[in-house]
Amino acid sequence: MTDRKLVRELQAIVGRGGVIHAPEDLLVYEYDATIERSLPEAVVLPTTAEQASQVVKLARRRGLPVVARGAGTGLSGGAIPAAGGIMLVMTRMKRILEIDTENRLAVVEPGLVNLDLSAALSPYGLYYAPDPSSQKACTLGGNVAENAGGPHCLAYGVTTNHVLGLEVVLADGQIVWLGGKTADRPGYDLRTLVIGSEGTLAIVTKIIVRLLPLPEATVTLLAIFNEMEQASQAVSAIIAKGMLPAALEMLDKLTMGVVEEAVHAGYPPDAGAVLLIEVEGRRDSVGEEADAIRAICENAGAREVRIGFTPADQEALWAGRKEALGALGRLAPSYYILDGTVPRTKLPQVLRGVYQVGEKYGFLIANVFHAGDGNLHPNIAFDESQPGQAEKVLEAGAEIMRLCVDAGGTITGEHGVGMEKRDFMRWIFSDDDLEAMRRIQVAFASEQRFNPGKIFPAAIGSGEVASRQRPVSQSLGPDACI
Amino acid sequence: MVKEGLLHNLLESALDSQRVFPREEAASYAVDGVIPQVVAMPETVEEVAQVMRLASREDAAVIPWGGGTTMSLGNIPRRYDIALSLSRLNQIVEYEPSDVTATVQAGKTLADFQRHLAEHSQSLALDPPSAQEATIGGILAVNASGPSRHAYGTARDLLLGIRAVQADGRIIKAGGRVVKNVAGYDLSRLFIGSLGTLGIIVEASFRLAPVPTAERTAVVSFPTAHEAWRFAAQTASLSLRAVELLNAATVRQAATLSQPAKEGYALVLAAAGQPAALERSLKELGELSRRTDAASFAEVDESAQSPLWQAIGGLARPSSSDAALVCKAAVLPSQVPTLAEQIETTRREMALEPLLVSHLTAGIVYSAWPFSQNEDVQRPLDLVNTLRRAVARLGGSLVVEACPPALKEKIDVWGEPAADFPLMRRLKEQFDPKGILNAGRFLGRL
Repeated sequence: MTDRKLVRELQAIVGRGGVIHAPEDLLVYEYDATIERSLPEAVVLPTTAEQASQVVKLARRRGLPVVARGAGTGLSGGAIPAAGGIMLVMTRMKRILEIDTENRLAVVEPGLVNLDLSAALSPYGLYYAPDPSSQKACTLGGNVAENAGGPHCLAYGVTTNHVLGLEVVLADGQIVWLGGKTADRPGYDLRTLVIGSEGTLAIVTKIIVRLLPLPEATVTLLAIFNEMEQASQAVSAIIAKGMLPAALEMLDKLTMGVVEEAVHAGYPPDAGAVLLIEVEGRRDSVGEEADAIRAICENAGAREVRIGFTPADQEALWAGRKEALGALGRLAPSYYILDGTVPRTKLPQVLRGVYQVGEKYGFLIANVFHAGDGNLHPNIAFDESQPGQAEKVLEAGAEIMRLCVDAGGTITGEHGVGMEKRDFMRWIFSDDDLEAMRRIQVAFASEQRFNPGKIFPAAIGSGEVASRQRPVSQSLGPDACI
Repeated sequence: MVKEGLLHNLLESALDSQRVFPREEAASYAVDGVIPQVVAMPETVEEVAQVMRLASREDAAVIPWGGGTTMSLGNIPRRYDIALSLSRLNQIVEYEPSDVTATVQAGKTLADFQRHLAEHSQSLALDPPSAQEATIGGILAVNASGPSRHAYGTARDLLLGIRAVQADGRIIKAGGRVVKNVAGYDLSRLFIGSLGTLGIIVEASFRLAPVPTAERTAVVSFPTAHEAWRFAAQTASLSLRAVELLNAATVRQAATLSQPAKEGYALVLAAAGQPAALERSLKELGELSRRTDAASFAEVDESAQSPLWQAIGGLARPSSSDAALVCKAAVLPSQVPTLAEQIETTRREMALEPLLVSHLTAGIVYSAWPFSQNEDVQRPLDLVNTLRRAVARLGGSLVVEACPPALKEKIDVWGEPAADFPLMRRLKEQFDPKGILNAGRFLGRL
């Protein structure tokens, strides 16, 4: 039961309509796109940085944690109030404050939806490059917190490469700018720390983003291979040749099968894998590049390469990729989305390992992922209602993460550590490495204040009980995205 | 203050005596005239850690030393006992050309690294001045960049991860070796531009880039910087590697140019890519120059390109030999012309002949002001204050990258700390509680 006095104090800051506290209303905020659940004591929807600051100060006086949330589309439990407390939902702060076309930057509020920004920019011939697959729903504040990626990050980089400055509320309630509109600012690059900090260092209240000119032309290629190995070879060859397509995505046989059933994307039933490749650039040069990529694919054994020059053709080629996750629901009632990165030359080896793990545990694993970055997304299909399945899925998932780490990769390429992968952090970081990260939190004085229970493995002997995680997702339906 | 001689003996017992040098041999490691007691040249990461453990125990102040090309940057050291040279940590740790990534030790010079990568037609897309001497660790520590940042960005767009030795000697790693990685706080990017005040980078992993098939350079001159900016703003769709703005004095110094202008500005543009695309880019640049207010347009001979770009890189940068004042201003790109005008006004008022080189699309403006060795401190000080006021009006920053120590005593070369400074101070205290790494040299004399 939420403390009445707390509610009144919060209402005094943001008004009655800005506080949600009825238990049935709070249920909406206890989860994100993972299955972890934890209720906040109250949800606050600030409309200004000053309000957010006052809420942070109030939480501090009362010793309550604060968890920021955007659209709740995260895939690692980043927005779940693991230790309760006050949730700051930033979705009412969604204005575009400035668009500077000359210097190609924009100042926005954190609740702005990713795709809404690019839509507002298109009349100026500009766009914001990072495009997480949830971009119709996810907010830029959430993107900053998770350092979000997306299919088009291969050529353009992830969120951190596109954020120039942040206005943030620190743990003591102070509002301060980190970074700014101009380059190479003297002093430590604090903005860099907040980006990808999963809401544990500061609450972001304004974002200065870098914008790119819209490409003159786009060509989409769909290359169909009999064998997954051939597709992987093509990926390696494209990267090794120094070509940097805007996107380079792969779907495996299992994914293609269910996608074909769901949306009739035109995938041959006996194909082993498809690559979806997008080339962007000048009108007079994309054709050459597309031809070169087609040749590489054919050399690697592609049995067919389809090319789309018009927006309608391109949309048709992308349809299968975009619907992939929704279609996976046909495989089993539930599936668990993994996220890991490996060196691109290790893709064939690691993918073989992924399928072996599937066989070992008796799960179907569908792979649809950002091949050009080496960023894997194995989806383990299972039935949660069967006793013991959830535990087995966790084990299989951990084994796949281990494969990524052993191949010289990492435990998350774009979804974040969150609650899900805290205990895997020790696989890639030593105690000294983790302690250095802790020092950052100490400097920000945000420990136990902002989003506790994330990123860091449960400290040994601290008495903190690692919530026995159930990072097992129910079938996410057609809105799910990776 | 550590007793003279003690450090030398301690270090000798930790490292081979061949790699420890006493004060008498340390003059070339002076920073702003301060000479260290001892120079240490560790050969392994573990030896760097040993030196730092020792320094931490003895409370000895350490200045990490790469190629020594940018030691003029920073405030006067508060104390300085050990010069820690990383020049012997110069190995390539891992290079997988097919992954287009590489891991290299911090003491490797950029030129050495590039030679290795060039065998596979790849490169690290960073082109700061003095590539022959500048080391990977030093480049990261000062966030050095060059004209290529127009196309490739800066170190933070290329760095994948680091290993570093902390002030207490503990070795940490941050980031990784894969191109996409969001596990934990982004410590590796924090180290970029931190001037070795948080720890000593000993190893770095990068994403690489293919060497462009071909490159062509064009020089377009304009009566004013405003016209140059309007021109540059219309080139967004061309595949350019670099867009540099030079004032007339700089154009004259970059002697390879055929028709140096007496006044005004020149844009030097490098188009890179496939030969066909190059031709088109050049053609469009030519057409654009005819449509706009350009005073002249010239393509640079292929043989003259490389020397020209080298000259541009080095022109407005600190040189240890003269008494020049070198300032690096950062403003919005669209405000570079306004700043250039201000610099022009100051030039006339002070009767000086500064070189001006700007990474135009990044809003970075270097200006190098000649002063004689025996110049009183007042004029350079007035100049810095004038420029700082101008840059502040534009919302930018101004760092004095090189100047005589007499001037350094009167200013913070990084400028005034802002509201985020207390956070920076706490960060420094967390990573270097004894204040032994580059003591006093960073922003706010951290």
